[in-house]
Amino acid sequence: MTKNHSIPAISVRNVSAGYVGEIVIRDVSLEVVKGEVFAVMGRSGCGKTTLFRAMVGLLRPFSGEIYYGDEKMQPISERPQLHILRKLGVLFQSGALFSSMTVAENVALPLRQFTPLPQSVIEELVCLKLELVGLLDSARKLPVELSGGMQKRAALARAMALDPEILFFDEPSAGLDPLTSAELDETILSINSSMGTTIVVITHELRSVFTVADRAILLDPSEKTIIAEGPPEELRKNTSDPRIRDFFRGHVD
Amino acid sequence: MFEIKFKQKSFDELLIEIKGDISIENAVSVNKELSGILESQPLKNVEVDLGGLHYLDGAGIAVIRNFARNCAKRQNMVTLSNIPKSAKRFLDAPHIDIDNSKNILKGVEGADLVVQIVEGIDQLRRNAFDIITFIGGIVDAFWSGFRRSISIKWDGFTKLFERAGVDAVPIVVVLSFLMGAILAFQAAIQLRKFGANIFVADLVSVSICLEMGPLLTALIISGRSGAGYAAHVGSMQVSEEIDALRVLGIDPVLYLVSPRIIAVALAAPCLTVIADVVGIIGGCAVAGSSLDITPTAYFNQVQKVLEISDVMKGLIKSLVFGVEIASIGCFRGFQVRGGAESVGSATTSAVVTCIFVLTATNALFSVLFYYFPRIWTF
Repeated sequence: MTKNHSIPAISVRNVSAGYVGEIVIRDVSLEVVKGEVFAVMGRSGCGKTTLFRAMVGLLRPFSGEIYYGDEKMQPISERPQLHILRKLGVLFQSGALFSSMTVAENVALPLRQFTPLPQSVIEELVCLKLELVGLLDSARKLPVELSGGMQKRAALARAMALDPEILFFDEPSAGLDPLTSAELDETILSINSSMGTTIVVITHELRSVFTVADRAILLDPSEKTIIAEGPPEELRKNTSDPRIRDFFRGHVD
Repeated sequence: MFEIKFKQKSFDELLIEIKGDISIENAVSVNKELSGILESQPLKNVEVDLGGLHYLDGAGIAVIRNFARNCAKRQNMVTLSNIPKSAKRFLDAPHIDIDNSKNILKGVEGADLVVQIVEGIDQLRRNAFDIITFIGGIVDAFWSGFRRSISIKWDGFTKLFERAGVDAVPIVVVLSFLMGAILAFQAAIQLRKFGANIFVADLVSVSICLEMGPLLTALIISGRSGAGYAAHVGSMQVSEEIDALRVLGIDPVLYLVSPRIIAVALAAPCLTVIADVVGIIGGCAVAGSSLDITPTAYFNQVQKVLEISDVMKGLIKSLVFGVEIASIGCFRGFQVRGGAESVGSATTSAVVTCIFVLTATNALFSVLFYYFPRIWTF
């Protein structure tokens, strides 16, 4: 697989973010290259989700900037930039499917909102996306009638409805059994290779990182920033830092 | 950019060449052009050459599949050639022929009328059963709490009372003042004709204390607390918090419902007293300005006509209203199944049920007080 390492799809520059009275990540900078699978790793409470929310514009960083290509991302609450948002697809931790709509309607929603395509083409496109995640048979079901894994896949179909250039996965394996989460990893890889989609995965699941990620960063809860960056294999092998070693071995010395 | 060319290969065969990019941006115009060709050249077998495509995304694939399906509908043969490798799995012929996916966006058709009626009756039966079970649950919770004399740790009972009572004071004050003023104003127009101006005090004080005060307060509480409890308990139901309480061995009715019932049952009479006082003052303001009745005369008249039992009747009513509102709110919350939509309808039905039950109870009380006019005398 050839990947163009020159153009950053996303660059995060000196971002500090958090919540009222609490700073969670401090001075984080990173670049996500077009077409790669990028993993954000770290223990619970290290600020993975905070970084993710800042990157997609749901959270206003205290300082620093986030660029998509050469455009600065503003927080959605202040000035939603639809042309950037349309390039993004986000798979939330819990799926965040609209519970009053069927699976098919969930996937059709962004298509109906943002494209003038006729109903028959939208329907075709919905079929296509559901086929891709293997949920065509459940198209008429409501989200509550689906299992956790199926909900995630339905949410993925919705995130991909507009063929985004960048896909975010927030904890894709949370609440899934190892097999289902391995299947989801396969899906991530096939999306990445077939459509060249840039993918950002927020996870603490090591197995998933080693399967999918080209590059990864490790956030540390006490430093509140990135303590390691590189291809996951290299991070595991070449380290003297005990924090990184512990994370990869999965136990504390 | 895209380009579509078509030419007649033989008298019943059409070759369509698609070149360039098809993406979500231009899918609409591609679709239009393709269906235009299909309209102008019906009854032909079609071969679509995709060899010249550089870029094809999901929307593009959908357009082509839609075109192929439309051809198939007209009994025309379709062949796709030189399919780009990335799209191969979606554009292979067997995929297109399968028609299992049609109309997935259409709603499910409504059932037969008879079936709907039977379902409605069944729903009613289950609803009635639920209500009885719930009332039983409340009684049981209070009874067992009383018998075992458990000092129930009602977390944040004061907070609940504050939210249901104190926070409602401003709106109760404003509305009951206006209500008293309106009553006095309407009465003034009629009473002036007879020179019976002073009786405006009778009318306002009695109707406020007996009817308007308790009912107005109850309606405000059902809009605030009744709906609030339904939404709160409903969301707890959705996020499995109710189940968590059950598994912890805590009776959700005892823990959630009984403190709310007591809070509202206490808050409602307190608010009613405020509504009574402010309503009478509102009447006084209008009486003073449009009927030239001095406040002294007004309140003298009020004192003459208003009995303790009138006020007490209103307060007893509002106590019962309070119990009803809190119970209905929580009950509708417990009925929530599923997600956000269900929480919304629970909130709506909590308020609607409250209004209905309050009005019905009010009617019952009117009958009761008719037969026992001196329900409270010193």
